[in-house]
Amino acid sequence: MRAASRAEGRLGSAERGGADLARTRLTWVLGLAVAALAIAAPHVFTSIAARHLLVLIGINIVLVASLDLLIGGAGLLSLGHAAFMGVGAYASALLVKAGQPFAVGLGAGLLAGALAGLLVGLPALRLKGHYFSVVTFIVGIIITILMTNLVDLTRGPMGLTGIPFAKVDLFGWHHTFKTIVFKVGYYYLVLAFAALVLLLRWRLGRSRFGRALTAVKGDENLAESVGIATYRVKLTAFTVAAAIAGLAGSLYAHYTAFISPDSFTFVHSFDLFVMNLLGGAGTVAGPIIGPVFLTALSSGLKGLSPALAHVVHGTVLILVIVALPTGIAGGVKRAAEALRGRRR
Amino acid sequence: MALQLALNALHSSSLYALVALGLTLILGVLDIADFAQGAIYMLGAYTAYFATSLFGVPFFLALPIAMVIGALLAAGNYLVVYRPLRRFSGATTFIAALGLLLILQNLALQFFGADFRLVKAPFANVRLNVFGATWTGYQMFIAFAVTVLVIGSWAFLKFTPVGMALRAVSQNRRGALVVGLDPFKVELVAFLLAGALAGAAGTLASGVNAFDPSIAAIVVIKAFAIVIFGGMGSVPGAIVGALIVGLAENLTAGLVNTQYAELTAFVLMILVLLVRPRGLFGPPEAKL
Amino acid sequence: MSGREVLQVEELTRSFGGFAAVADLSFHVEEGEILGLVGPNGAGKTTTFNVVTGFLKPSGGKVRFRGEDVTGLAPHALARRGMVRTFQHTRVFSDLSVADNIRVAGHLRERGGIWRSVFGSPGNERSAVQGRVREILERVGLGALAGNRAGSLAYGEQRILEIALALAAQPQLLLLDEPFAGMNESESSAAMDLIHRIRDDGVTVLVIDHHMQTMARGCDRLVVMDHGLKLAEGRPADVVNEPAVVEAYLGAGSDVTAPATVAQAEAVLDVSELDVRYDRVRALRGTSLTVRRGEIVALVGANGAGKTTLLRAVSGLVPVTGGRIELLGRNLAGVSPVARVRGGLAHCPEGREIFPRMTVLENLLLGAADREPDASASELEHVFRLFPRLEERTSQFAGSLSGGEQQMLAIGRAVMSRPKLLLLDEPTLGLSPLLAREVAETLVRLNAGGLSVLLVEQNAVLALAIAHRAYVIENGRIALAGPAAELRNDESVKRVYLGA
Repeated sequence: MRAASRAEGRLGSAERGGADLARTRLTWVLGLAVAALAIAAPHVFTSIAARHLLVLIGINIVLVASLDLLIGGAGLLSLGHAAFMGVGAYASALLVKAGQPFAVGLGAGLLAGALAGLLVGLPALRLKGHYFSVVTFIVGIIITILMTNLVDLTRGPMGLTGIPFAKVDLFGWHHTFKTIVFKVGYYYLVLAFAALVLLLRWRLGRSRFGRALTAVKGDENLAESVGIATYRVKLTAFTVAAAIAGLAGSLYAHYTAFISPDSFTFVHSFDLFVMNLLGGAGTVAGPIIGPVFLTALSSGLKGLSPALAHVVHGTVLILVIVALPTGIAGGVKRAAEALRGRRR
Repeated sequence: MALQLALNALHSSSLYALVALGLTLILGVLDIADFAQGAIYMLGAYTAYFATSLFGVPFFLALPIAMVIGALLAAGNYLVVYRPLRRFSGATTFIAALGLLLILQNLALQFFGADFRLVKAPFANVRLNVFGATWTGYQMFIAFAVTVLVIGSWAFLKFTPVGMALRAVSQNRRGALVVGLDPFKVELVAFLLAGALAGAAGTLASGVNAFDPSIAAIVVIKAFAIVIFGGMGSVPGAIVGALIVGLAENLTAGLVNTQYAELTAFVLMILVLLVRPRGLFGPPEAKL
Repeated sequence: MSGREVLQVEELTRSFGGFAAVADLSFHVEEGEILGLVGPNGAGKTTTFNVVTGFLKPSGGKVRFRGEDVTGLAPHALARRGMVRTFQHTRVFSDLSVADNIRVAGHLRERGGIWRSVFGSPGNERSAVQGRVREILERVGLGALAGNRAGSLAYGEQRILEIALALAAQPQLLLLDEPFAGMNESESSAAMDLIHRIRDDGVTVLVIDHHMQTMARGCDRLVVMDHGLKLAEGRPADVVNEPAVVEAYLGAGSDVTAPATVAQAEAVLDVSELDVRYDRVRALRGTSLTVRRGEIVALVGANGAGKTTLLRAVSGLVPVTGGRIELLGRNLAGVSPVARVRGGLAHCPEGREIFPRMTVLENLLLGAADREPDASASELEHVFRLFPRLEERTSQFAGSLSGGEQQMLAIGRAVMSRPKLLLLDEPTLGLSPLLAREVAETLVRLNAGGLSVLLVEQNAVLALAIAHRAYVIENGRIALAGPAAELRNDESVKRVYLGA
């Protein structure tokens, strides 16, 4: 009986080899199709409102891909991600308003996000399980309170207005993204960053660092016992994710030209969380599916009052948790595996 | 001056204490961070507002009504959302709790509007002079009512069979099972009690602090910071934590700056996390 | 053996509250040997392991690894120095494939932090890593299962994978925590062979287990622990026959009062063909057993044989996958634990499970939660007559009692509900011989009052002295049954415990 099960195992891996090849091909085809769609999108949806949504989806992809490093990668359910975005947005907006170039703003957003992530991660990562989630949630709110209260720096609830548009000065090519009306150019800029961050998330997932995260997610004690410094690995992931969120904040600030504490509340953190779960945490497609689906959903709910839209969001979230714990991408994957299993 | 601050601290402390007490009970029995308690607090405030302004119900009657509504709502949340989710991890129920908070807060926004409300408080004109500090009649009433509720809850937990069962389940679930305690009953009671306390806190606060639906999130976050500060699952931790936070908050407001007062609870929470992660009164960490 | 000391443990102490789980323990591991740390349940073996590997901080004493003081270092720092452990309950990354498990655990072998992860070229290293993974899997005999999900492996294979995980971290000293738990004889001897092969490849091994049989056969030296202290040390053949070791395993106290004999009466508990599975392990396989009215029935057997599982199945704490349990003629299928207590069952579980931050009185009253107040007053009197010491401490927190007093409290709490049948799991665990005897005498008195008892007990000599009948359980099956007086002199009982 034992011999039979081993033979089956060997057979299984041979078959898996063939399936792997087919899947790689499919992944390439799908990837290229998605890329083509993303590039064509602003020319298919030409209204300003639709193009606005496309830019927001792009920024949300950057955010969700970084959040997925925590949720899908390490199993750290962080609920304060929008706050790090806010920190990056303010840092970038203030510097560029003070006359620094856009590139410096982007870098400052990244650094400010990283710094905030490090400071929050140090105490929060000492807690396990949902206590970690609770603390990230609370700290996220503290950060928005600070944005409201540090009036001298942030102008408080009034927010920062007149944030300069992004100016790019590259090998003699100058361009200012006047995003109020002209959105396509900025969309491609955001798209490039989104692609970069997705690539980064994918590379990290398959690296030594990514495997350490997987180990932390699977069993923290076991990970420790094979020599993984779990606290440091988690802190690194948390800092990197916050840095990317800061970058997204910078992209957002120079897109809308106006930010206020209201742009980065816990509700937005929560939305990002839902996008990640809904798309499928820990999957390659998840950070794309979630933002597209949920941003489209909320624009579909525009007819409703914002309050009712939030009610729908909350309900969707609870339903997702109960019905699709692995999200849309995870659900599709499972369904495909079930189908293959039946065929065999 | 210091005395005045301490008096002011007393009423904010006592309102936090009620919410924190409910949160810590639920946390102890079920390990759920029930952020929807914030929405119950908010609905308690609206209950007082509508009962007194629309229906002319006296304030003293609105208080028990709000407690009943709060208890029922909390128990409903438990039966409809948390109990079906119990096979999932704590993080899942926490996210569901946030979902509930979001839903209830925005339903309130939709139907009650974003206007700030303030309930006309009883004893508004009574003022007591205590060594140069003023204590208003309503503040005295809050202190009195909260004292009654806290002592009542304590006596309930201490002396009644159900209260004892509740403490037993939160200390040792398997031990409770082998002596034949029914965890379902205990969990339901924990939610009923927590809901009643949060409803009462909302009603009592509605006479001193102007509120809108967003108060739900603000209050529960602060109360939870107090729970972490005092020690998760610890009843004395919730009470003492609330007293310390309320005092620290009012001292900051009086001596430093009102804007930073809001942050006091969170600063204390982070300090305690760094120095003593189990909180002031939390049970020691279990061994591996 | 070169005689060089790889690990030195010096006067190690670890207390929980007031209770010293490990007290002044000293031993060493020599390079290239297989040292076995053995002892009955609750002897402090796992605590020792957890302190040595950095999962617990010691209360006193030192741990040296290759001469360096490593006391209190974090587990990952110790792993980096070459000290790697496995866990008592199988721990693998169950959602990953077998090969990926090894890759993850090979963390230390790969270089580079997050920068290399992003910018480095994965291609070059990939083939080298894959080669290493294959090599390790072939070495432990899991090569054919590389692509399978770890969680889908059979239990024995998961345990081997766990060892392979540890090997992937390239240890100089490998610490194995109960690698044979839940294995049958042929599986455990195969595992022991593997441990020998690992040693032959140059890895020093420290292994803990209570499978005396396997350990005595496979280890170069043994250190025997009981009650947190070192009892004996030396070559297995010498150690096994030391009287102190025999007593630690089989227990002492054969001079306690034997219970009055009972006439044949109707069954209080009737278990037939019971099957229980945890995930992939079959803990009970067609176990049948009966307790008649007025009887004390002992259930004895080695650790992991299924004793505790049987009690938990009867009280409804674990789901049953097959078979039938009847309490006083009533089928318990689908009956909640709460209803079983009301139906006359009391379970005094292993580890006592008292309510630490409630008073002694409250603990006792909770045991009678469903009874009339005046009835519980008379029960209280009854409990205080049995355990006068509890009456002196009624308003003290249960958590502040000594181990023996906590055990008395747990038994007292269980009899508060005036049960027809008492399930008693390891009541003398961690107690001094004197206290153990006191507990045994109390059981006999309770039984004289008409209570039927099903007793699971590590101390076989004691259990067989006070029981009317006994069952010997091995790997989830009843191996032997009969009057306790006969089993007392049966060599096979000794074999089950000591393998001698």
